[in-house]
Amino acid sequence: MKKIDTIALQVLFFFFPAVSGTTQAQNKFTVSGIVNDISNGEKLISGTIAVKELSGTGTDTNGYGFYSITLPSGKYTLTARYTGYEMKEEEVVLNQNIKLNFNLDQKMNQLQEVVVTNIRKDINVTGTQMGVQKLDMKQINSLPVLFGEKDILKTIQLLPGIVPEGEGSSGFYVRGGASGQNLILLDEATVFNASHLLGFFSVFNSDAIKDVTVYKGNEPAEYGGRLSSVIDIKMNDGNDKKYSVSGGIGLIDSRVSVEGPIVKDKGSFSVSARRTYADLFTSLSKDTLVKRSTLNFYDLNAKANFKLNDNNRIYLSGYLGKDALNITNFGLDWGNAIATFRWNHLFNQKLFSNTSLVYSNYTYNVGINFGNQINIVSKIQDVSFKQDYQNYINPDNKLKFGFNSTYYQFLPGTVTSPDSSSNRIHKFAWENNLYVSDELKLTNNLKTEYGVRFTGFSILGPGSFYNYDIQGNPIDTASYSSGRIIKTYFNMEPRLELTWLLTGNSSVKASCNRNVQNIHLISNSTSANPTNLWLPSSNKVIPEIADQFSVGYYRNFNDNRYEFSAELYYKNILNLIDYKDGSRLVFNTNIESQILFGKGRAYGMELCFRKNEGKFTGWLSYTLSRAEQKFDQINNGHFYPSTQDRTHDISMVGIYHLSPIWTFSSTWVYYTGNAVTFPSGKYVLDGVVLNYYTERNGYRMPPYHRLDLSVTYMLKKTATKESSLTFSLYNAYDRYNAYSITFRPNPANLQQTQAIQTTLFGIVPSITYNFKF
Amino acid sequence: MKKPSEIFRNLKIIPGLLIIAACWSCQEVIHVDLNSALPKLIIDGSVSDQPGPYQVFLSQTVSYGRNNVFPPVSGAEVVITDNARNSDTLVEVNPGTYQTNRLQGLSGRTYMLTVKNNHAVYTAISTMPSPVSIDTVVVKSRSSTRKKMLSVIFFDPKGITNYYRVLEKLINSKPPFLRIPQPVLGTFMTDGVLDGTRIDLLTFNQPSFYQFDAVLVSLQCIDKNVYDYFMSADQSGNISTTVSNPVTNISNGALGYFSAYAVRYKKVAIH
Repeated sequence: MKKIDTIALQVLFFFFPAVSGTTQAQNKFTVSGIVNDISNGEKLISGTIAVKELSGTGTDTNGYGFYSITLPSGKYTLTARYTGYEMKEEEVVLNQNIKLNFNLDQKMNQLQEVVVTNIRKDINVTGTQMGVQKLDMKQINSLPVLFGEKDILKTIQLLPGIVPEGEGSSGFYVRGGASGQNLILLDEATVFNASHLLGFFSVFNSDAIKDVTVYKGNEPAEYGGRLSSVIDIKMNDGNDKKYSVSGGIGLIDSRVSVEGPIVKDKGSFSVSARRTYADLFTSLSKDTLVKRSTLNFYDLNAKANFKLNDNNRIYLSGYLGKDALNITNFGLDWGNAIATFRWNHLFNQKLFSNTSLVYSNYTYNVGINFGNQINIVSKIQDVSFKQDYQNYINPDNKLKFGFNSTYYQFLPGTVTSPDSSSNRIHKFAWENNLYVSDELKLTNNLKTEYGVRFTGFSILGPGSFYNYDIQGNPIDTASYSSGRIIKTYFNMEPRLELTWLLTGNSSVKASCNRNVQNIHLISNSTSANPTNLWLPSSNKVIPEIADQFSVGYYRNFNDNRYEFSAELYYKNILNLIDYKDGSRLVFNTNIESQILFGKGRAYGMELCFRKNEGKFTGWLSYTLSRAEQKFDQINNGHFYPSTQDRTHDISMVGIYHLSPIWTFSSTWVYYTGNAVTFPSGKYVLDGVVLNYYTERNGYRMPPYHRLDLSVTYMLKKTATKESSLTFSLYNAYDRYNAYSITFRPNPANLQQTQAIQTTLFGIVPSITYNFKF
Repeated sequence: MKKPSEIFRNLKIIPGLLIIAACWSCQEVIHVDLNSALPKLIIDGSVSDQPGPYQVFLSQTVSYGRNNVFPPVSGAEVVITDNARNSDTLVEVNPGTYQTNRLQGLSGRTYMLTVKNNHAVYTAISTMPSPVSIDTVVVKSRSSTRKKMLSVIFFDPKGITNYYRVLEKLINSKPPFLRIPQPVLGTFMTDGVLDGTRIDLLTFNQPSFYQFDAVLVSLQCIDKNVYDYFMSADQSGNISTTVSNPVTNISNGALGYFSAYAVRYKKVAIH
């Protein structure tokens, strides 16, 4: 791997002499620096730096707040902008390389800003990235969700093209793709299960999060690994000027955050913790079974960073979370543990580098006690080394390249008991990726980002690999010893994006991407489940490949007060995974025997209209789409709708700032139900009535719709202290949305059968007290 | 000692229990528009090592919304043969119920069922395993002490893969627990890592028993195809996206199964 990396760098040095920093023709100099929030030192991501004198010249800050612009010598005025902050201007006399940091002040009446925004006012029109959405964390306060708890993943589901998996689940579908096709990163570490409490909440404590970027399948080459989306979440660095405590006390859980400087202006830390006490409520239940149940979770986010000198900064981030559920003889606990170490290094003002060491672990443990204690443990763990370079060659050309290497360890369900234990069947894999990507301004009106990502996924020993017959019985086994590379899958993922500025406030964008997925989330349950399993590719399970094409039109009105976008996409998937009829996946030691391979396709149109300024802000989005798949062994080889096919998806969000004290917000969502398999008849066998099925996914769940309302009352707001009270009403008109529909004999009349709909939540009020000092 | 995979099929109930725990949840009966599929033939047949006669039941599917009255299929030609050149053409003693005349089931023999109905032919094959005796049956209490469940103890023969079906038939009950027995498909397991050991199978998926019940416990040794059928027929808690008709050992699109099994019984009285 190291050898390939060296060769690649040498090739790049040859074609792009600017990389080595030696060419200084035409007396060009570089100004670079960091864009910060002046009050707490947080580095601002994707802020815009523009050169006033050269229209259309500028750049964005990267994931660490760093920017770099190289210009011919002269006098310039640089402006730094970030939504929610006052713009700052600085004059520079560029006759040598200059370091220039910007410290921006938050806008005083920032409450008028919108929740989901594109950081530069017109970036939705001018930025190359299409199908990208950024969440402005400061304003996520305005949209509480279930139990009054702010939740990033639930807010993402209000965006066009993204639909919730269902109530009681943190999973979501992006452009017709299943939940396991979304890559969720927390400070570069993969989060394998982002759900708390069987999916009612996500593992992300909004207080600890700084930035969320969502790519709907057309991410640039530095990202890869999943077919449908990348959710890149970055934690707060921590206030490097003064100590601060904030938190909230709510009906179901409470949270607290502490942040402060390690050394003022040089380093800072941030720690956030959250704990639920939902079991207080179950103890109030009259049902004895529920009364003796416990369910709770906690999580902890911690981050520290330190500036060694002007060219070097190190970061350490960690996350630890755990859920526990106990009902009589069953116990279930699961959790994520994540740690990343990162080192930002500036080789010179044009070459930024980041080196990361990442660890991520997801484990769940099931305990059963019917006299004997039996445990089942399942685990996925990865350790990763990443090296990323960003070369700011000139304002029209930014080159990104890098590589990463990940070692995976899977333990897909091992049974242990005091009397006997089955062998721990670990699986191992080693993934290597190499990418190069270039952001290029071709003309004043035409920009492109193009690149390619190479992935090599190697299956390692020790282990046994089976071949199966048609019924799924293993017919032969091959065993390999430790460290042997059994098979490697190589894939190439080209990425291309074009932005064509039609006028100052409208543009057309087009993109095509290939995404390859080497590890697969195996699940046939109708809801997110901690027992869903991650499985690596093997001799039988091949990597899934998705090719996505999209085209979009973007237009801003009234000086960017209003935004409109329309995007069309088409996605074609090869080696798509589905499961045999009647498949048994839970704790099946031969899961591969249950897997089928076929094709998928998804296409749709996403429309979105936003109002960004004024007392009333919000957006309306509508997605019309179809997701279907075709497997020889299912439904006679015809195309049938995927479970996640959602014909219509509508989201309406409105936020009204009546005054600095009162804020009202509401959301209304509507979506077509999942495709499901219902019986088309019944029969009797040994006296038992059984359901007769004719096809998979031939029916639909009823449509889902729900209105949420909330009002926030600011109790106190001074320069140093803030406290507020939020009342919220989830499902305000108490609609009984179907969580599941099952079929069973009628207990009152055994001559009949009936359909039972289970609803999780009717109307749910809640109140949360938030504080900050 | 149970086979863990058995238990974990019941883990599906956990999300169900959590639903109850979320105090605001509810369940209600709803009307769902279901298609009326063309009726399909159901074949429910078995041969055992007990003295005959043996029976094959033929019936049809009905629409889901109708009452549980399943039309029997009469006038079919039903033949069972074994691999020792015995053949028995069954006689329809009741509508839809076909009975053998002289066939005697023996362990180790392979039986083939042939059904001819409406110009279609359906066949199935099943090999009868050797029997395994029940050593003891222990009565255990559930979470509430009035409710009982049974633990069936037997010794698994070493060196062969065994598939078991346990049925617990309520043959007598007394007030205050007088009731009609509720049919179940049974409890299923395979020996797996427990091959050759003493197996303690806790049949917690069967309906509860009460004081003064008399129960007939049967331990059937079934073949793999029949085991696979019942494992995919378990529809309690159907929250799977791949729920489908069970994997049948009958050809040509009929539903149901044909099982050649060996059985041993034990009577239990609950005190």
